[in-house]
Amino acid sequence: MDRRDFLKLSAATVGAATVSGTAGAQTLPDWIPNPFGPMPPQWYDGDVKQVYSYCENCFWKCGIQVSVEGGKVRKVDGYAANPKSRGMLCPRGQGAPTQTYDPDRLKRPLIRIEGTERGEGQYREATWDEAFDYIAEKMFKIRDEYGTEATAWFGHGTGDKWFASYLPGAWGSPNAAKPSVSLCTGPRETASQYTFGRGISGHEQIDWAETDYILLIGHHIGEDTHNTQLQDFSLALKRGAKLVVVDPRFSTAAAKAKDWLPIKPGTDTALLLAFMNVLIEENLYDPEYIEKYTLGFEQLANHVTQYTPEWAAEITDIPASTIRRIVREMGEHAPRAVIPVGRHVVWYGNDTQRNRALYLVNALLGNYGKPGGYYFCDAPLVEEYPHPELPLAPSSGGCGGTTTEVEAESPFRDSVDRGLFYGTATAVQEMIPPMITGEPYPIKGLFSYGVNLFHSIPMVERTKEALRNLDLYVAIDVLPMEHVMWADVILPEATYLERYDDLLLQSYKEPFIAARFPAVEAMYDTKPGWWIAKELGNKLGLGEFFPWEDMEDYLDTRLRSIGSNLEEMRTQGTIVRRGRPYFEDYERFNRNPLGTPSGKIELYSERFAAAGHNPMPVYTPPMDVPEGHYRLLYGRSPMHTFARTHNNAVLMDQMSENEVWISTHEAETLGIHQGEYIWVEGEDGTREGPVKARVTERIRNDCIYMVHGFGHKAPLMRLANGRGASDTHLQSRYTLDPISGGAGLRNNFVRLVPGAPHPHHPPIKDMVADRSPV
Amino acid sequence: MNDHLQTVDRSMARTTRRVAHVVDPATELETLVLVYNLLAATFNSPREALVDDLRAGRIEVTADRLAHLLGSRAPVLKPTDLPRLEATYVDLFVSSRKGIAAPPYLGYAIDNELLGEAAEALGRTLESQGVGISPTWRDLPDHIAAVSEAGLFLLGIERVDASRELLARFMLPWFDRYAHVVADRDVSGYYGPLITFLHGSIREVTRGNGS
Amino acid sequence: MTRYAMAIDLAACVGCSACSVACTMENDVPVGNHRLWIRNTEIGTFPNLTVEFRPEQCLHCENPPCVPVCPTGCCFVTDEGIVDIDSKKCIACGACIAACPYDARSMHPDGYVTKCDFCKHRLEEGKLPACVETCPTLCRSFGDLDDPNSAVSVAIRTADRVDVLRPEQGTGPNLYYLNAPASFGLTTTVGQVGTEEGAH
Repeated sequence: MDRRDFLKLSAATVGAATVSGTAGAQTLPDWIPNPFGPMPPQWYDGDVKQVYSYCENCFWKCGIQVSVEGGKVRKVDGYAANPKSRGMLCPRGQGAPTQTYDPDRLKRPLIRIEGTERGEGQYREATWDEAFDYIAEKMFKIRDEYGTEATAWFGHGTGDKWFASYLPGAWGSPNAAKPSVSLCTGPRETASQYTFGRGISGHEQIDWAETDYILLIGHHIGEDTHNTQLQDFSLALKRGAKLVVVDPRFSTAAAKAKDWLPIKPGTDTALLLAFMNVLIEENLYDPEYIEKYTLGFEQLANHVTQYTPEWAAEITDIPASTIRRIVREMGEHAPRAVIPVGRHVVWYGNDTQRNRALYLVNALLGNYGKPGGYYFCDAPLVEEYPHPELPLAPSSGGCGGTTTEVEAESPFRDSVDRGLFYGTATAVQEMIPPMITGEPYPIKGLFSYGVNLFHSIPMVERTKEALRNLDLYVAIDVLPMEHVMWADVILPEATYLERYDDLLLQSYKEPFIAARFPAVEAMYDTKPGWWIAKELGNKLGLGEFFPWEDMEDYLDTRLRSIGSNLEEMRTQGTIVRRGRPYFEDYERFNRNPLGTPSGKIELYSERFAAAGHNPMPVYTPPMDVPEGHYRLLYGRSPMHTFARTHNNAVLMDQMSENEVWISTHEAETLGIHQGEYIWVEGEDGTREGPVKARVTERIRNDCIYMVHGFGHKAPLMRLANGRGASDTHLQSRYTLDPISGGAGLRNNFVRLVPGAPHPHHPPIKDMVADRSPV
Repeated sequence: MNDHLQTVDRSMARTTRRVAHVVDPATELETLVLVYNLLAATFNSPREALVDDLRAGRIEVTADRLAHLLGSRAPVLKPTDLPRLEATYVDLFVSSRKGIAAPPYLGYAIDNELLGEAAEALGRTLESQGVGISPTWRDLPDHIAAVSEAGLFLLGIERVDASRELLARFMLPWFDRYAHVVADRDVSGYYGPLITFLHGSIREVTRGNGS
Repeated sequence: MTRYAMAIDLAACVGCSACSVACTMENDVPVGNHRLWIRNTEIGTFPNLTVEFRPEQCLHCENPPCVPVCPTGCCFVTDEGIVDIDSKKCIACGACIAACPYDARSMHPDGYVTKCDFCKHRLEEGKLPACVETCPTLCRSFGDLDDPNSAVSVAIRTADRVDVLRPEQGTGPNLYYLNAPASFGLTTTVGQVGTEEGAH
């Protein structure tokens, strides 16, 4: 009998079923478990294949070996030959594969149903062609009416090369931005460019292996769990390096330190200036180093005479005698004494200057370019796949990539944030207002690749208003987070375990090249970012910029430029290069690694002075904490990455909610007890909670602290929904750093209100098993 | 090594029993055909073909006929349009800000794992009967729509017992777990009643088959 | 004679849970069961503080109280000192769970007791347990206590301070905590931390 005779309903077939090769009338296998039979085999007893890749669960991108059995990824591990993982992984790296098998993953392109509002979450499925056609039509309309610059491109993650640099460069939009710049590293990059003439590597180039004395300022290593940095930090301490931690909160790092200086929030620059004062007054600096490598010492020495430890003590709450003692200790160990620079340095709006102050102290300690301090590093050079020159050079910056030069005459308009600050890398949060006001010119389209618009950019209501005004919003992502379900078109990317990506060219003490190979086939109808970019490029008439056949062709061609090839990479995963970490490695070839116009470390910055900024750092106090309020501080947890891991059951099982850290003293005055649920009310009508209170001795009385990334509003993230509080939603204001464009996020003040109802969240394990409506 | 399948709840373990059906083979065949047709039509992505079937009343005719054969009540389906069907389908089974109501993967319903042991057992079951899921199918091989077509295929090659076993062992657990979840969340007036009806029908058809 | 043991340097541990997640992934531990968990305890008052970051798991005791209470004999100690479970003989009576003073055992949803087994499947291949291998602070040492040059023996020998949990119970743990941050040694609350409290 023909199957067609049975199909009364035309909707009943899409051709999913087919004849298999193994026909035969066997009895159905009995899958009833036999309590006295053998245990089912474990994955590691099966036929396990291993594939090299690099992790995507944060930006650190540790090299991994992926174990695949039965067509499924079972485990990921570091491998010894990769200088980043060295065989070890952090909890997020270990737990990352859970996301690939999350049933809530985006599966196929979705198009918002006509006539529905952005944010309602009403979508229909579409083919990739339909989705691209929809996008192209809207893009051309926007271009014709408003120009190519009227589409903004945001990106974060390995594929952000395509969506926040390459495509906007090909399309002709300078409005490409990465939150990792203006919401994270922007100020330290800009400060470094203007001080040393080179950036800070994405892996902060601290010579942990050679240092004897470490002073951390708010740098919560151990909670911020950048794998290699944590390894190096731990090894340094094991080796006997001394540790001092400056932080309003007794962080994990503070627990390992010999001294904890509970500094008043926002006063770090005063402390750094006092450090300079003592180093110079007490002749603890190396005059030969200063003479040979720096410019502007006279001016700096003059400038810091006023910044005595007594002056700083009043401001910072750190006793003058302590300040002197610490500096003397640093001086004793110099040049193997270092103040590392951290990430996410957008604190108070004067952050470029604060980072510059930090670099100047290191310069006075003579450690920049010397063992035990900051080493030099560059990314390995691998040729690009030959392609026509992009009409517009990308300006989204990124770690080490901030540009300081003004671009030559360009046929395109400047980015919408030009002129708002001195630096030239774009600031993502400044791309939002033009979507509402149309000034300096309208932005009507947005591509967002892997950026959580509602958990990274401050002023969430403003972002939502901006999205409502767009003609086109395309989200490329992996999970249906709240901001994704506002888009007009949703393009589902395959997870990192299912795709190729570009080579990782890592600037590091031993620079290296790592490759990502797909471990399993892409599930559902998801596609890798490189494919999405190429197909989109074709539809937008930019096909000439994507001359490669596929990623294998692309990668193989690039690798051949350094005498390797794809198959070789497949068997080894990483190629390690020799680094040139110290001055002497350049000097022997008569090269100067410093890129400033003077060729020296600029203690005094002529260029800042010419632009009307302080040529040397000064102390500007943070905003005062209003009566009855606390300053909102936030940070990381080792188990979570930004706001993206909160549907990962394994990681949520480790930490399912965040807490508000409040000092015992303040909790008593407010009547808040340990473990109770409270409300956190910001200014401007924001409110978060119910969130659990953590009453602790480990924090000052003038501030509160919470781990970032919780407080998901939309119930996806069904595991995360409603758990904890979102610091981003409380950041209704920010202070713009006039030099780098960074958004200082720590001038937000909150009240704590006891008596929030206990949310009675079910345990994660119950939620994994049960998908009933909550 | 036997095909073992660890269930989440060991109390779900059942032994195979067969009770003689007091139904003639032709009726039973028709019943199964109707069930599988409805399954496939329900769980395939809604497209014009579905709207045509709805407008022409073919869905209702199918459901009515099935209800008649089983002695049950036919579902009352609200009239609706394609956009509403598409939005609801996506929200229930594909991607939702609330988390999808019911992952449409038969293996997942049994052991909480995508591509887990239950899904593998299902794959082997189908293969042993000469059916496979096409590599052009852009979703997991234990998606209900794909398995429903496989069931129709089995009926086409006269493997009636196999198609009934498929319902009992792999379809019913999904409905036991998710039918009420879908009914609670459905706003279309279509998926809820239809899936509730299918649940009852599958229970009825597989009675005596491991229930 | 091999005698497996583990040492954890509490001066180095930062309580990141990499070990717990690696264990979960390696051993397919169901969400909600923990073979290995982290307990963090604040000690002292502002500003004189310290924090004890302490991983806990089965301690593979010399005198394990779980073994004698098992009615089917499925709890036993291997020749190399691993306290092991023969899952298919387990009847899920729960006596061993109650007997363990360290809360190290739990009931697997499939109906048998489970706990850390020092990743014996990895040991057979000459690899370290998953928790030891992944730790980014390198705070874990593992090896044969009968070999004075093994990593664990060296770590114990060179530590400033060595403690075990609940020594008064007489269980003789083979998991040693080194360099406890508080002058009085280890904090005394022991056992699985609910996820509601969080690992921190």
